[in-house]
Amino acid sequence: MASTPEEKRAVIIEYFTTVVIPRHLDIITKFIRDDVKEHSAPIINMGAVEAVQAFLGMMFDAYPWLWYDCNHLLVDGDCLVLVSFIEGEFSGNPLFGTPPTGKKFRIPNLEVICIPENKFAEHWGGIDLPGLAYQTGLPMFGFNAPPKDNKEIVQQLANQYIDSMNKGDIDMTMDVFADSFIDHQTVPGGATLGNTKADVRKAHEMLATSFPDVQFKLEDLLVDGNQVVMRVSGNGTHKGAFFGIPPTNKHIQWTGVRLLRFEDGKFAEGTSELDQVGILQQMGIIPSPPSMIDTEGEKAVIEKLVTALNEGNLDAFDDAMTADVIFHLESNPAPLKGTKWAKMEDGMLHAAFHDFTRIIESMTVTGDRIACQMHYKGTHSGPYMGIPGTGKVLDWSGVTIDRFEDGKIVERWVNIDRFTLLQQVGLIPSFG
Amino acid sequence: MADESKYKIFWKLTQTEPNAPFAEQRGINYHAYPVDDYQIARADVQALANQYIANINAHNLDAAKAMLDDQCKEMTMPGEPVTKAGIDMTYGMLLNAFPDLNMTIIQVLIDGDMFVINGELHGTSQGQFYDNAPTGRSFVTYMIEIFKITNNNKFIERYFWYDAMKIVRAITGTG
Repeated sequence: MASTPEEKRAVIIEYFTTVVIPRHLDIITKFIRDDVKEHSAPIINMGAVEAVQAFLGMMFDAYPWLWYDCNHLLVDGDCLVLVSFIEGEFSGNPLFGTPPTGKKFRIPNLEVICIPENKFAEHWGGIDLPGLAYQTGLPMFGFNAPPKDNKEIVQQLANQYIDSMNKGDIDMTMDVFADSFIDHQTVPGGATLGNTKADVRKAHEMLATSFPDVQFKLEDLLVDGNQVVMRVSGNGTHKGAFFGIPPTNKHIQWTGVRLLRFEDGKFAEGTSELDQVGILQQMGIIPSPPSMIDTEGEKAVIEKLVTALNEGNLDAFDDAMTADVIFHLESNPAPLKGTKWAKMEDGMLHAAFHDFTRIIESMTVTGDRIACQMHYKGTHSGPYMGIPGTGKVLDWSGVTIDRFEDGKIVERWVNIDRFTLLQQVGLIPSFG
Repeated sequence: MADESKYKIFWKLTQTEPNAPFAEQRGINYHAYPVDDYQIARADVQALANQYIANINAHNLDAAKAMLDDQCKEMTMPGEPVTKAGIDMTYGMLLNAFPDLNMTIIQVLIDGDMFVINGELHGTSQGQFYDNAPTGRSFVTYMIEIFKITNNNKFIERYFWYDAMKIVRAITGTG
């Protein structure tokens, strides 16, 4: 039993002379207990003893010669402390997928080993792995990695920029900019702001104060050499003064584009365009423009749809509307999703009124929406709402409002004068 | 004055050194050499260790460096010894990456004029750690720090190791 300090040192020396030096890893269990508490296993998902064997085996294969310098062997109670250096040369087998580089290394190796009897019962410590990677050319800890192209680095910077703004970490946000950053587009209206990195910080701080819940999304990232374009969208609740405008508590959305030049891992200079007018319009500070869409094109979509429906082509809904279009019908409290509802309603009308026809009386365009004043007519030739066909020619009115995105209807609100229709059918009596 | 009755073991193990005869490749050379140990009471060593640990946990690196002798050999970093700058290079980097860094002690081992901090480092990823951007994740890893004390009660040798891979696995969520 190793009870004295010298006896504990002798156990270590025997371990090196019979296991490590001759590379007899198969007898390692002579020195390590099966239930050893290994706190620094270099390989996870493996038993402690097997992990030590596997790691030493990899080391031996990769480094054909190794030299151990032991500066101190300290002993306190049951614990022995190995204070040593390891020298070697990476000229053997590949290690962690890296071919041998022929580089030599000298790294510290500190280990605390508890030897209550003659075997290792508990172990901490090991080699300086970052030092090994740095000296021998292993691509670990960021050392010796193949150079990344600009796009990969810029993507990381852009992600850091967006993530940090969303977390409100202004220091991390500013970390993407070089200290000498020049902003060629000072914040519009920010008379007190200049174009230095400090001024960019002030602008971001103001944005975070004005919209405490601000969230950004990177919509697009273009990289060409060292030129970078970031297209972002943002939104937040106007809770603080924004360029002197008192908080409106409105939820505001905007878009922006940043043009940047990338240099030495940071953004060195740039300019930006932020939709400040859109922000002010949503705040109600300035009026919205009469239309922001290609109204002629959108009007044509509605006219084409009405013509097709009048010919009984219900599939025209699928051409004019997106698959997940939302319908808000006066007769239905909950919105309905998809064109199938429109087809169902129109199918019922065509069954009841065989010559059912829509006529557009007028169209009004505002922003991304078009309102249509509609006139409907048809011969009541089949059952409708339980009333058999009367042979009467009926007509009634209605209004539809369509919201467009990318040339298609994404949302429709419908209000129809059903009262007049049902009176004509005879379901509701005439009054007065 | 060296105490000839006290020896530290020093050995060199050679293993398949290039161009060496096979017999020598399997050789082991180790010998004892006298060490001019500084005679210091165990309780005094423990007090110095406690003071050093308190300085690190207070993130007071200047106070920690003040405990080092001007001739302190930094044995941790690759290349030439960097004396007191080793504290900045190790704890400075860790504090930059993990501003809430804290050391907890498993045991302090003492042998003569040397002490060993066998402990754990705790922290949260808030800055760059090697090639890893901050993730906000926390970690616990093992560390060993060893000092040799000289006759002015200052530290004359410093060794530092911590399980960097364990940190990377924790803050990247890969282990």
